[in-house]
Amino acid sequence: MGLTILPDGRTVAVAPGVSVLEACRENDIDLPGICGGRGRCRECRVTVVGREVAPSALDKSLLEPEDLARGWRLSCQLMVEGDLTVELPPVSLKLLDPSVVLPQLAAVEPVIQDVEADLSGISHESDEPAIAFLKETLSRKGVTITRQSVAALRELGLALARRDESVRCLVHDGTLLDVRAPSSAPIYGLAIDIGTSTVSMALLDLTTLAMLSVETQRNPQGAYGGDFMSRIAFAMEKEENLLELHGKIVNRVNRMIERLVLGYGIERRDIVLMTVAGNAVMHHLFFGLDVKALGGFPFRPVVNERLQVPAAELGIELSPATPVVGLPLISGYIGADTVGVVVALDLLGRSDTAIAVDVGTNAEVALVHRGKLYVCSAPAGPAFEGAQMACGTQARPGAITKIVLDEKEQRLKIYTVEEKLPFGIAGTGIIDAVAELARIGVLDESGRMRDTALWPAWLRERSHTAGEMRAFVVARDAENRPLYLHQGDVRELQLAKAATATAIHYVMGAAGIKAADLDHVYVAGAFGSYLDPASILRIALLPDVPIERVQFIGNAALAGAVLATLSRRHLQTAVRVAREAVRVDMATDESFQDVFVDKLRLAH
Amino acid sequence: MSEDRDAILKGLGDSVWKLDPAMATEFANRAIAAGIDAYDAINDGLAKGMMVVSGMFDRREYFVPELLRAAKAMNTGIDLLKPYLKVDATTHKGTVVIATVKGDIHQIGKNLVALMLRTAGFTVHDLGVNCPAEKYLGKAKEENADIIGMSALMTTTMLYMETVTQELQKVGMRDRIRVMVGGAPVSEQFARKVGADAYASHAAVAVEVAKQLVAAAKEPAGNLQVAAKVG
Repeated sequence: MGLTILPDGRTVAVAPGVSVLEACRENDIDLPGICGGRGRCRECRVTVVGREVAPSALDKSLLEPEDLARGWRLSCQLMVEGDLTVELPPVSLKLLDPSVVLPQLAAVEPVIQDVEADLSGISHESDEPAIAFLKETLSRKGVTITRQSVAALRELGLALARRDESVRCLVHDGTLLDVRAPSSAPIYGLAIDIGTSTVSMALLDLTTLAMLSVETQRNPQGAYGGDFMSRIAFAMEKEENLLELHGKIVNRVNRMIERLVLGYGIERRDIVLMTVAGNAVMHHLFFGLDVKALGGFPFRPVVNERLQVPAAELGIELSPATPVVGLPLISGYIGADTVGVVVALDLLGRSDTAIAVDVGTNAEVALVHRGKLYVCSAPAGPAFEGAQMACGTQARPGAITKIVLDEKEQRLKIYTVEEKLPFGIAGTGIIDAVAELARIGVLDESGRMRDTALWPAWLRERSHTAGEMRAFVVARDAENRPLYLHQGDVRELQLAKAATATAIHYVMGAAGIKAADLDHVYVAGAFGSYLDPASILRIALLPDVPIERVQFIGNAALAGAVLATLSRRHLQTAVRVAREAVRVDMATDESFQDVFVDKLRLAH
Repeated sequence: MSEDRDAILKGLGDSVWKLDPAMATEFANRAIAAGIDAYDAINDGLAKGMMVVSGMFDRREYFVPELLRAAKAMNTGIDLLKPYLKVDATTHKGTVVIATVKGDIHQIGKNLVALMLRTAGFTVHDLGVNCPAEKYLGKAKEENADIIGMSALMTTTMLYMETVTQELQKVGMRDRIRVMVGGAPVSEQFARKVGADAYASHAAVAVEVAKQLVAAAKEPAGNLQVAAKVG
């Protein structure tokens, strides 16, 4: 049976009894499956083209009648029986590149040592192995070689046979990676942040320390569930599933490398180092390590220290010996992404008091006070990404990312990605909406949507009912359907914000500080410039600080990986962070419930 | 007199959904002074108010903090009325052993369910979080429990619910004990899959589900007899 996927028009062979979502997974076709095919969201919907397919019970309960009429079906419920053509929602195809903020790097000690070795003094009459001579020469330059790749030995032998006067040696952590002609090309490094939803890759020129590009693609594991727990659940079903998830992410990274190689006209051989950041689960899946123990208390990782493996061992399509470095984890639930954030901000080396908050499905918080680092994480759920909200979406073109209530003009202003017609509300739009509605009195401090009669008169026409819940219409889409925020959405956002604020509360408690003591509050995450600092302060996601102390740092986990690729000091900091950070445990604290409940409030 | 009685019962109910312990105190005292049966004051007064709260929670008008405050108001009333309960008119609704499953340390949802059940007159044994099957079974046996309640907040840990129902089956306790489950990733469909008797979508509804489970106890256990769509 053939499944044809529009708009590409690609046709794939599908075995009977396989769902469209599963077929897309198998064929690396990106289709978000927030709930992992459990029939609890409607993110994986597709349009059936040219045929009538009876809607499933779940289709009927999750999709509107008019959507069913135009052929929308949940791909997780849609079985391929006979040839079938489906169209993917157009908006599932494009992603935004995150902003990466890097500090000025003056003279750095590079991670890859790039040294020239003079071969002119070698005796061609001696039986001394060539590598011994090279080691000796390099050690006089202060470079110690303890291991070497076969590729390096091969090139060294050829260079000697050609009677080359000198060679360029690339050394990583005592390993001679490559030997090449002195005039050869610049060398490159890759830094990757593997997020639960997206994968971002930066291409770095290791000679000039310049970041040449950043590209983001969807994490193909998204088809197994939007949150990482569903991926673990999938891995728990049977052992082969772990390798399936591992293969997906390795393939995606290889595809991204291929694009860079083609796009920039780079030789694969010239990419000599890759550094990977990511949460503990994404880290383990990338390296193909079992994740079952990360799926529950006490969250034991297989490994937490820095990993360093040759590309060939992972199937990464670079020169076989090219080192792939996995930044260390702090624990089974505080990952290499947090380490990256700390490295990017140089938190360990600072004498002021600063907190970094990674706002996402997993809230990660790092605080430095008097030179000591405290870390904590909390599962916030997918609300900040707009998932599982009635009209929520990821930040794709047409997503409403910003909402402002202008009382003077009595207007509600919306901003969409690329100024496209709105089709859904992104996480930042939902945060803005809640903050604005709380400010103007549509929501009370507890998060309850007031009776419409109590709303400002100019907003009352936006009153709406969703099921039995009160709702507020933010905008209308191209087909004039309301895009609203309902009471349940507000509650979902409150849960996510309370989880984050509770983690912040506990690290501040461990350090013994108050909001007024914070010199800087850094906000990291995939939001880029969309997140309004005033909004997250107003809903009390952040501690009560003056707004000028809040600063966005974009994808800081990636920035940390970039720095650890360029500079040895930063890489060493990463190792220190993992060792020295004080892990703050909040879930077992007696007052946890009281704190959490208090943090649900939309005010300080 | 009867008008007065209705007004007092209504006041008791209102105090719960208005989250007002002072009002609960006032009307509980008025009920006692008016000679209203304490059992009626609880069931036709306070408990009615909690039903209102449950409905508001369904529409998410109320949320976790309000649920806690409603329970506080209700318990304030119950504490005053308790000494006036007739000896044989027990409010005991049943015995529940409750915990968050092994591997999971989320507590708030489970705590809320335990609080609601206690408030409604169940005897609740809360085994905390990260609870292995043998602990559930041991306590259920020891207390001759009517219901085992399991909570899980993660897609990874909710699978453990099946381990517990299977263990129950294995030791031959499945017929005697009803199993109810809940937690954010859990669904009615999932509850059925793991062999539970009922699913409660949130804490306020859990009381009705538990009451129905106990009422249905004469039926054979192990098939989902109780609809989750209560409230």
